[in-house]
Amino acid sequence: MLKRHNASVELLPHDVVELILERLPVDSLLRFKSVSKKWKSTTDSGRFQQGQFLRRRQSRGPDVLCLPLSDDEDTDATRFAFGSSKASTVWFPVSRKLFCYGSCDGLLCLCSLYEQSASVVVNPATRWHRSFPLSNVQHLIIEKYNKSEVAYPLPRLGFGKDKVTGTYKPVYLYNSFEFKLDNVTTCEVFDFRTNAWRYVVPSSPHRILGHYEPVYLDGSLYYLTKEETEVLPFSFPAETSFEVKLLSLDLHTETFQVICKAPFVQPHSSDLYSITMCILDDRLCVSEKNWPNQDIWSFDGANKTWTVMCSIDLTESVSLFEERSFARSSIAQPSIAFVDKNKLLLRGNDYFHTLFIYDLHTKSFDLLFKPTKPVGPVYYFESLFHV
Amino acid sequence: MSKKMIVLKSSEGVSFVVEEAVARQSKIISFLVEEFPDRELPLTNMTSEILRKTIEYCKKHVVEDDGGGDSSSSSSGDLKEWDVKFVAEIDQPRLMDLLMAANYLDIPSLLDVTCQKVADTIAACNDEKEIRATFNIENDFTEEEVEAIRMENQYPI
Repeated sequence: MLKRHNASVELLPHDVVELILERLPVDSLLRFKSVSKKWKSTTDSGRFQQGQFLRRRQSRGPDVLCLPLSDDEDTDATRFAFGSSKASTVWFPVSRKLFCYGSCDGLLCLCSLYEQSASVVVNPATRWHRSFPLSNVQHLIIEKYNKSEVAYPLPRLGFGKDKVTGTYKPVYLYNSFEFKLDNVTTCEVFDFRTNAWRYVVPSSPHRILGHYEPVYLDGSLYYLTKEETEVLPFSFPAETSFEVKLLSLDLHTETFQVICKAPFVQPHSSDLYSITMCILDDRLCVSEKNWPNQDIWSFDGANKTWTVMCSIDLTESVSLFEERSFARSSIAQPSIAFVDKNKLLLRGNDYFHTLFIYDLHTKSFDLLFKPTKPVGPVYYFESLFHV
Repeated sequence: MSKKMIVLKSSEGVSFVVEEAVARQSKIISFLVEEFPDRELPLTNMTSEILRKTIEYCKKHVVEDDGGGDSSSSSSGDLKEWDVKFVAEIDQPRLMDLLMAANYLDIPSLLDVTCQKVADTIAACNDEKEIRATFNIENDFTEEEVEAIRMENQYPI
């Protein structure tokens, strides 16, 4: 077994070779496919790709990718490290104006707003990508736009994986009324096998709070929905009170389920961006601005309870933005990831999506990266996956 | 309190007397000790040199229980640093032997550091030729096939 002075990897059992290769970054794995047939077939195998992804997730925090949101090639190609994570801006030849907040298995989704250009699912690590056609609602948005009407709020693209079959699914869920469609909501799912969108019936029976980006966690997409409860008496004009609830779409069964109340969520009509959903440390979180604090509530799926995970003191953040800027007035910061234990990576609510680090101990903000052109910061773990 | 000792024997027949707690970091030895107490354990596929190295690693990583509850002999930060130094000092062929030993004896943490070290060495290589030379891997591709793989990695836009 232990031959002296022969360092051949070929003498190692194959599962040990896999253990070694799992630890390589994706770019090395791609470059070194040509070492031998065995290395290539290993790198290409689904089992190994799964192992590589799990290993990457366990080894350190998520990386952040700043996707350019303009067609401009000249984006500042900055790379920097924070904690155990790396951030980089990459120019991807299929830039789109909108992006999905989260990533799934190292894959990201990009789409356009008012143009006919196809949406794309990309793997930034391997540079693999595949475009897919516009959904019905995207056509409706463009139609409205051409008539100088605005679709508001704009339906947001969700992206996740059916964990049972391993199929990836882009999803649009939106309120029907705004598009003069039947039912309360409409849900479209893209099927990569048939290369076509189809409707999910029945869709959610409750209207969703369409301002918020859906998030993906563990086989389901999550939305916030509101149920009108009663008309408050003696109020003029008549005010309806409503309850905000967490809604899930199971990507395997394609069924909606109201999970539980999110009693702390009170979206103010004057500041729609006071609420954001995010995934932190593999937990579904909702952050709520309650000046001068922004509380991040984490959801316990087993007990269906919410607990405050941490709180951001926004007082100091004002100085980070120019006076009278929109970002300053609506300063809730969508959280992207935990950097080490006590630091949060935040995405500014400004046009450029400036990145900040917030230290939970010292309650101070650190400017991490201020792009000169708008970027979409997305957290992800690099993988070898494709659709 | 006297500590229980066990005897491990290398392929050259050299005996190593080791504290049981140290040796039990190997899941295989842990199993063998229970099945065959008070027996010398022959490790016929492991040279004295590699066995000595393996024991050195296990000694450093043993969690001592001397009445005062569990206490690691070193803090985790120091231990990590020690690990890095430990594998850095070993040359390539011996590193592979040590990796094989960690795999054979089932010592997860040693397997982890040795695999990581080999992975770092691979990642530092400039091209596939350097990897083949470093690790003695035979090239079973033709020039055309290598070129095809290179093309495959550049997804056309």
